[in-house]
Amino acid sequence: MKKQGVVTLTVTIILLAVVLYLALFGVSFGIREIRPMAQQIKEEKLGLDLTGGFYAVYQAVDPNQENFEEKMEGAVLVYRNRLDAKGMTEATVQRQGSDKIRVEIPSTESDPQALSQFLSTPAKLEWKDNDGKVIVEGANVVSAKAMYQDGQYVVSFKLDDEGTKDFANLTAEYAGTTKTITIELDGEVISTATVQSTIATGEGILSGSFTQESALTLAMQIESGALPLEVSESEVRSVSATLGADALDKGVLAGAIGILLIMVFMVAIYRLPGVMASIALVVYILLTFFCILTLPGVQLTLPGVAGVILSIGMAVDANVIIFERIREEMRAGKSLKTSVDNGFNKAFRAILDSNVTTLIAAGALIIFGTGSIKGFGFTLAIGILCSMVTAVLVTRFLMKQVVKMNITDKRYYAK
Amino acid sequence: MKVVEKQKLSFAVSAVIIAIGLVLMLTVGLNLGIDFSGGSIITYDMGGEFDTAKVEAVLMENGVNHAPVQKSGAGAGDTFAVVRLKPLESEAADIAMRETLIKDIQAVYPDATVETVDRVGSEAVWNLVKDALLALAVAGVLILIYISIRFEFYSAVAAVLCLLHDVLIMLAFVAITRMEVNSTFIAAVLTIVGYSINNTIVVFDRVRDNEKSGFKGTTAELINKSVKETFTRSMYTALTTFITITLLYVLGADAIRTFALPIIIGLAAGTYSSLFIAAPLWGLLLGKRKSAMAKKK
Repeated sequence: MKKQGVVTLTVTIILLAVVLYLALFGVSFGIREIRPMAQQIKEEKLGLDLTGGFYAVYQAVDPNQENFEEKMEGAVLVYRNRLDAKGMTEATVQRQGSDKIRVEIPSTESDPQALSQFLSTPAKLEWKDNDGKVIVEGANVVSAKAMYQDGQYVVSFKLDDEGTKDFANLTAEYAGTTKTITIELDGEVISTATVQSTIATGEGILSGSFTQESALTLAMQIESGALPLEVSESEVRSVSATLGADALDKGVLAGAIGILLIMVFMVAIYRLPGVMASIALVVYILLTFFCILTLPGVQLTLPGVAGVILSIGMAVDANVIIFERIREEMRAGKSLKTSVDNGFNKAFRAILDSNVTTLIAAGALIIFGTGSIKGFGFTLAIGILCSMVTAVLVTRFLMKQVVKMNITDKRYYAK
Repeated sequence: MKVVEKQKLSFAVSAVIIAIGLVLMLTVGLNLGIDFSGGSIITYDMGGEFDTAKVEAVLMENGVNHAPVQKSGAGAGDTFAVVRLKPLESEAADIAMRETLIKDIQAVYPDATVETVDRVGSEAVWNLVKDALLALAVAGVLILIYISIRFEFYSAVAAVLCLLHDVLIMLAFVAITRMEVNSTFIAAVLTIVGYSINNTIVVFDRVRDNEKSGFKGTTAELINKSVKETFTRSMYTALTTFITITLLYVLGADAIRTFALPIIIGLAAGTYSSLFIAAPLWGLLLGKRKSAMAKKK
């Protein structure tokens, strides 16, 4: 019995140490590689407020127009195209609620102000004839490029077949007359000109008072298509990458010191059971981060990091409840085995009920909350579930080994 | 433990704090951050040491008054200037203001650049609060139902009232200290709701346990005994949680501090309410019912 307990406990601790090492540092055997979990979370699971980046929410100005749903979907596509055109393929575009679109761009160096303007401008391009009738529009443009020509920045464009035909007909009609073709961008005239000769190639040039920057932006916008509906910028947030990384480092440091202090506290108060609780705490932390890493849609945000660190303090609570019960039993003169068994059984209901109520609160946050509140609800729920599992299963398993080792000296259980 | 005998005192302490908080909220109001009031926060990297008074002077020239400039930073020195602007009449006006400001600041500090811009339109603001309140209300009702099933109705009412107490104490804290209230405060409140209900349940579980094992005595004695038996556990748990959250406050970045401080207050309120308010309140509710039943007879 005694030997079995020692062996099981030793094997468990060694196994745990190996897993902990892998999680922190990883290992590679030639091609196969286990990447450190910490590294993976850092690369894949951090929210914008920790990596730095930009997010904006755009709201449709008039949600009561015809085909609203289609237009919103269209707008999402246009945003996607515009971001891709800028090379921001990591960016995400999501519908939020019925009339909002949320754009998130991680770790960008771009000027947030310019970026938001780039996204919220409709970029509706129209070629109008002398009577103000629209002949060709932005949708007919297949490609647009910024160029430097005759001492100024211009945007050259190429029309699709239909646009080319319409444009050729119009220029043929207007050639040599005083009639003008007007080009408007978002309702503002950027150029008005007479036609010298028929343009049958479907190629042309937009010239206004462009800078290199604005010519590039316009070309990208035209190629990505115009927004099918008018939007207003309802929220813009940007987090500098330096501030985000700084916040993460400080949070990790606080967490590490916190864990150590709690372990010292538990061992000082509960002695041998405290050591078991500390081991269980390591399992808890590994489990929590494993869940954050593997569950889809869970992101670690700044309040999330704080939530995880706070949950470490709360995770030992279940152990405290159990150990206090065990002590009471021991004081009442029960044997070690009976005390441990009774302690766990009596504590179980308190742990279950208190955690289920907290879980209910977390569930409400996940279902009804948005954005960071939802994310926080997820981390809270993960924290509670993991702490319950470790307290009820892992600590119990470890304490059973202790019972098998039959260390009855009271000094190992109380101060 | 004479928590029942001292209940008038413990209720009074909480009532006074909550009352001061409510009066302040209704008269002075909360110091709402841009998540709620709308507006912009612009962080400038000044490229070196700078004088907040000079930046404030630039703001004044552009008609931005009562906007204290905050120093902030990461790593070497506080070279970031944080400027808060009230929402202007339109998005375009906000953008124009931002452009003017950076030009004028660069006139004084040529190395200054815009590090981050946060702008929240006032129309976006209340959605977040609406969501959070809805989540809280639903959580409250579900918790009420769950505790009613696992314990009984009066425990459930007492537990939910304790939650309300903790939230009100946190609100009183931010009202009294004029701390800026942002969406992180909502997250802090929600954390405490989870934490505090946990504590209260542990006390009620002891009451349930003692009742089952045939405790003979008055309700008051039952409550005192149960609180006494869970006291050590409550203190230890409060201590371990306190260690981690205080470390976050001391070592954490500015953004984490605004989250950690209300949580520290909430932890204190939650520990206090689960020990000195939850069970006596339950006894009081139970007593009311018993005397009502006696009158009927």
